[in-house]
Amino acid sequence: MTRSASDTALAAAFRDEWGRVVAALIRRTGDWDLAEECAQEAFARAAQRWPRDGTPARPGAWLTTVAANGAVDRLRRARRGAELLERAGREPGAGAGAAIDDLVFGEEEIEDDRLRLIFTCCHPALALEARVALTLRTLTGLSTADIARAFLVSEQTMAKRLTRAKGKIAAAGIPYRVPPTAALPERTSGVLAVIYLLFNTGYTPGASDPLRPLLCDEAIRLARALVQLMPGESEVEGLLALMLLQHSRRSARVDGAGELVSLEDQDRAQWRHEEIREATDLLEHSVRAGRVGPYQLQAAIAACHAQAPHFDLTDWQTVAGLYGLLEAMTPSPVIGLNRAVAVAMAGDLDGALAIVDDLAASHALDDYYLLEATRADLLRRAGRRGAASAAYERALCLAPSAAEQRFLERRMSELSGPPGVPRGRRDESSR
Amino acid sequence: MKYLMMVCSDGEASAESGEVIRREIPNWLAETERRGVRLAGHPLDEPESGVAVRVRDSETLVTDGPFAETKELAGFDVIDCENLDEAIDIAAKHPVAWFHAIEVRPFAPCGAVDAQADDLSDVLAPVNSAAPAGTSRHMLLMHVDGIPASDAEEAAIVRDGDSWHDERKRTGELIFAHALAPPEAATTVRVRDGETLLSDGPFAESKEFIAGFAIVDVPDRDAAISAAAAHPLASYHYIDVRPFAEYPSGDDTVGE
Repeated sequence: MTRSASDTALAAAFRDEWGRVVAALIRRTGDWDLAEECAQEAFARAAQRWPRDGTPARPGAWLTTVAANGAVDRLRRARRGAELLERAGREPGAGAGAAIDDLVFGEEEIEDDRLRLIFTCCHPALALEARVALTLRTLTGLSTADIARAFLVSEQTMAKRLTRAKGKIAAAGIPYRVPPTAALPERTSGVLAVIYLLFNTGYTPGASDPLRPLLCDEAIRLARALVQLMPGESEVEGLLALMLLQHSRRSARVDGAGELVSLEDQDRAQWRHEEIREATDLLEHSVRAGRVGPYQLQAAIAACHAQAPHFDLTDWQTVAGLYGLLEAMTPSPVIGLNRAVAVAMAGDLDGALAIVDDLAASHALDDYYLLEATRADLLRRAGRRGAASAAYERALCLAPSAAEQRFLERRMSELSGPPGVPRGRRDESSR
Repeated sequence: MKYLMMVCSDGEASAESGEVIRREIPNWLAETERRGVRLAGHPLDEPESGVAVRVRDSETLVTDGPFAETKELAGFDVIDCENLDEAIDIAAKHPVAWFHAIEVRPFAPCGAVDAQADDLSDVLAPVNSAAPAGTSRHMLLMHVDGIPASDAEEAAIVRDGDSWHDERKRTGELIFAHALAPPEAATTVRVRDGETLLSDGPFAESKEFIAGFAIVDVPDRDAAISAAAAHPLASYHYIDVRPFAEYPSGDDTVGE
């Protein structure tokens, strides 16, 4: 076997198997740090052995066995070993007096472990930031240094956050399990929220760090795993579809200069159509289950955009209707704002401005730049330039990043041109 | 696993909330009884009746309550649960959690394995009945106010704490004492609009924290203060002395 072929196999194994190996070891030993260390050693061992002996037929089983053997050795050596060995021996399913040397991991058992690990990392008694960090570290194997960079904190801070979270799991008795049926829907939506937060962190515009987009890939991979692990959970499929649809626009949503390109101005030829197809298939499948949730609705909205050959050909009536359903299910002023945009695009400018005025009157979005930016857009379309300009000014003051400020300034400068000029023109000519 | 539920009051209580709490407490007690998870518990007297006890240069310093950190503590329960999920479920069913907050703090793992494995229900049983005639019952809350003691001091606190414990057990003054896991292991439970809201960490976010507690039967408040002053922790940090609330006569239900 060539060096590069085994490198590829190893990289693939790391991506696919890290979480499984760690999950299996945590259940057997109850020791998160030990599990991570032994997983790391197993991969180091693979890096030595696979180029020489060839990649094993079942890399995951090979890695888990090597890591488990390493764990047994360490436990024997360590002083705390006695106690933990006893615990591992008492593990339900291991059978009374089962020897820890005899660690045979069944495929199914390992998959169950991975699901246990996901739910434990996303336990609501942990701080949200800790859930996200722990999920990345233990399930995807991203290094502490990389996670720290992606979340713009020092490595030391991130290491402390991880240690504290693991400490709480042990000290507070957070169970390592898939929650019982009664708690499952709520806890599942908690897991989905962590995965979507991960995705959105990667998706945030203006992040120059190349690591950020990696978070999107990790979030999608976790969602794929969850779709396999929890078949029939339509919202899991809904979230995966939603992320795939958003991610399919990654090449088109930022231009060569790192500027944000609006949905309207994006070059739709750059969208990844095979990903869009996968997402829409998933969405259709999920909707067939008959229970529709917020992620599926958001995915359905994204699918309306993805399937439109041109911005103007978007089915705005449907989009507005979907936003209405979403708002009824999860009332939120941001969703209301999006509904206003869709209503306007469907031809009802006055209706849209009325929604925006109601939102402004509720003061729920006082510091949110998109409220004023949306109002500005609507006013411009209605030909009320003075009011539009004032709204753009207010939006500029609130815009969180330079990329968003530049985008608003471009829009503002277009105000001086003749009304009705398609705003896409400038971006298209500059491409 | 054993947990101390610290029942806390969170801001102003409406008249309606007090009524709901009084009405619902018996249901909560029945539920915990049925599930066999509650070992003991009791409401504490108004925070104003508490004192903080410090010993500095061999002198006992007593400060009248209430104190910023503990004035919110209205009562406690010791529960024995399968895991944190069950403890959260029990806390969320407590009516105080619907209006205020309950901090769920695990017991610190005990050095002696047998003490941890022991069924504490017998040890804690006296907490559930009235204090013997001529005695009044107090909860001592061991506060660590964030200044890290040196290793030597730490060792002294543990050693002298053990003998404080043994001596008072012998005289019958001490009913029960236990160390708590650090505040990082705490979870605060609130229920609003039927939804259980969790926050990672203790109810009162501050540098100082409650490291353990003791329940004593003593003749009077001065004796409770003396007992607290004799504990080594009072020489480095401080101990909050809180009398148990009295029940209206004829009412033997407990817990608030």
